[in-house]
Amino acid sequence: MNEKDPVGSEAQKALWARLKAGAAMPPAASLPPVADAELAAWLDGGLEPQAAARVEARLAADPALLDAALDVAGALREAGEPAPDRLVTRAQALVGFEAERQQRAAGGLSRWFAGWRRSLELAAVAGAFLVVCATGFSLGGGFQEAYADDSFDVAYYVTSPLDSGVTGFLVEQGDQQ
Amino acid sequence: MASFDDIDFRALLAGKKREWDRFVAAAAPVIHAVARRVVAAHGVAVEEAVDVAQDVFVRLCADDRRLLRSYDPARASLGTWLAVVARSCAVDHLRRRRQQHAPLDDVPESAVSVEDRHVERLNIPPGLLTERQALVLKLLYDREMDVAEAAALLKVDAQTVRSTHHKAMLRLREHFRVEA
Repeated sequence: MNEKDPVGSEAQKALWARLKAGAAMPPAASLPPVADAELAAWLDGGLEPQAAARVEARLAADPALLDAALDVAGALREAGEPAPDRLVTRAQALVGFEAERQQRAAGGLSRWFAGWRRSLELAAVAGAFLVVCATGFSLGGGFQEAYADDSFDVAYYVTSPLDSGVTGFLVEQGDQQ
Repeated sequence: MASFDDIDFRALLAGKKREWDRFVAAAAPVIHAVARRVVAAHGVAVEEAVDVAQDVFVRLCADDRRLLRSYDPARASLGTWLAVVARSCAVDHLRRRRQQHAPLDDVPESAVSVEDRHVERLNIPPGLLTERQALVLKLLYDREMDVAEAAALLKVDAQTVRSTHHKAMLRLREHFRVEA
């Protein structure tokens, strides 16, 4: 104890030690346990006097609970020191993965879509491919232009009247046979 | 540094990633400080504090953040509640780890017993001291805290601790004088 404090003389310590070694009393284990939320409220000074007295009775009799209270009070004083970056990064990654897992596990329409997701993606890619092909083909003239070129050639040779040069050549060829 | 005041607790419970990231930034220093103390008290390397703290975060978001949902802002501040919960989780983590690594024959029976072995039988006759007086004596004599430290823990001023100590001593003297 701090030497400046006017408490804690040897005689007083001896009195306390004598009390601890004194006659038996009802077992302290019979005291009701203290929940974490209750201890936190006591540490913040937020309990009613009766509830605070109950926590303090347990603290006086339960070294483990007193250790917890002292650890927490000490840690809160040290909390100004930043935590390692790798802890923050790893802890922040927890919810991203958790949310994704829950989304997959969700029922209803989203689950149905999740099952068909791969098929829908393939269909979308195939559809986009077809649109690109069709657009390119249309810009190049499409079937109509190709058919029109073919029709022109056939019509030129089939339906156009033969001029005199051509007919004369054919007549000559026929005479020779 | 991130603050608990900036956290939208409802959005945090709804699983919003951005809110969780802010919560982690604010909570990590507190939880890591608790983990450091717990590993030191259990004789474990201080480097393990990060793993212990990480396990606390895992528990906070397990089962759809069931543990976080149990927080009641009307009873305690988020920082204090987190520190208490983190300590319980950290002690539990180290206890499980020790049991996993040690052969069962090597574990003392007291370590696996379910009996409430932490409770000390303080021989204070009922009604002799108030709960506060008993706790003040315990802090000053068994834990060798000074008056200022005890006052900080109890959220009272140093003079109140001295006064409580004085009244407790009067009662003890009276008790033993009568008994003798």
